Amino acid sequence: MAKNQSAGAAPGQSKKLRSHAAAMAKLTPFPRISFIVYIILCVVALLPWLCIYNTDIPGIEIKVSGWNAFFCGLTGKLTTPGGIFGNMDTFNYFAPDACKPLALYGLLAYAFLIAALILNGVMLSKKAQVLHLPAAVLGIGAAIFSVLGFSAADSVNNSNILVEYCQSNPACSVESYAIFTAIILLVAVIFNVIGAVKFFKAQSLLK
Amino acid sequence: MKKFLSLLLAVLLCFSCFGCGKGKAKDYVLTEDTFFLLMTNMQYYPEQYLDSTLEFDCFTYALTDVNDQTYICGVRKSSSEYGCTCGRDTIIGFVLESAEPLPEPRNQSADNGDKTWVHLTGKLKSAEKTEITIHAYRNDGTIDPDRNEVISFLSFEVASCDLIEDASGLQYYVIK
Repeated sequence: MAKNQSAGAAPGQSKKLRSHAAAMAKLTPFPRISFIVYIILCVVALLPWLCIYNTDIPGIEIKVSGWNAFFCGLTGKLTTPGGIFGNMDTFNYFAPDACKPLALYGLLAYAFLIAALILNGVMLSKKAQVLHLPAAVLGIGAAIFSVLGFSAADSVNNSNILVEYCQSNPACSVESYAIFTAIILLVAVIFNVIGAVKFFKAQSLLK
Repeated sequence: MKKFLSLLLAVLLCFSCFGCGKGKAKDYVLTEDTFFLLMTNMQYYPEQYLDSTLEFDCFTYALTDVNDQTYICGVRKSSSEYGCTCGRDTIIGFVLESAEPLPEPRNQSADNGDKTWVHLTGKLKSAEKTEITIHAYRNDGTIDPDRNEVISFLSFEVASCDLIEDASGLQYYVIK
């Protein structure tokens, strides 16, 4: 009955609905791609947000990964040894002023990232394309805190860690790959933003 | 998808319980895998170990300072400043305090694992470090009386000390 009414009511309205449905169909890949990028970011989080790189070894001598920063921020434990995916305790001993914000930014960045991942997952399963915009906002938040984390990691250079821990060995340097998290996040955000724009355009077709 | 999200949350919850370390354990048994990690952490944050009973294997080592006072230590060879494999080699461990006589160090000048190995249990005496000033070593291994260096060790109150006959499974040189 309703179908007959809709079919027979207004050809213009029907055309709008078809255009809207077609526009919405084009949105399908966006949450899938951004979801995959967020999954990749969960793996990228194993990269060091802070590390001592030593060409004598060669390689990373000691590190704090993105996940380590996240969990240290979550638990507030910066002095316990043998943390999963990193050793915040050593860095915290030499540079506590840098490690506290690093843990905080790690916590916030990955909290935003996980929230964005979950939103994209919900979007994917429920086809709720309206969530593109909040997912993009969360992604941008995660990227901002990743950049701040990179900045906090860089400030470890101002501590005496290279002088004391590395005995001023020129082979040692403080490095951070947190910036890669921010860059990859922007890829996810771009897909969410494009998805949001296309979604609102599709919605405007109904007006 | 629901299953995936549930799994993700479960994994996060599990990790959050021990994501930043195993600091909740009251007592510590230092193994070959954790010796360096825990020993360096104890040097950094001794306060959090004061109530813990510690158990570990090490070799005895006599450190004689510039005033000819001898300290018996329980150590392993390590890299400089507890962690960097880029600096000069040094030792990591504790100054031992015991009511009973401790096994004498042996073969101390040789750079190998043929030492007096012991299994110790006990506690940190305090969070204060003992600074031992010794004459520095030249690159050829001889003592340079004109230069000094300071080694800071925590003091360890020995509750029990057992001689280890076969130390073949124990690392003379520990790194992360």
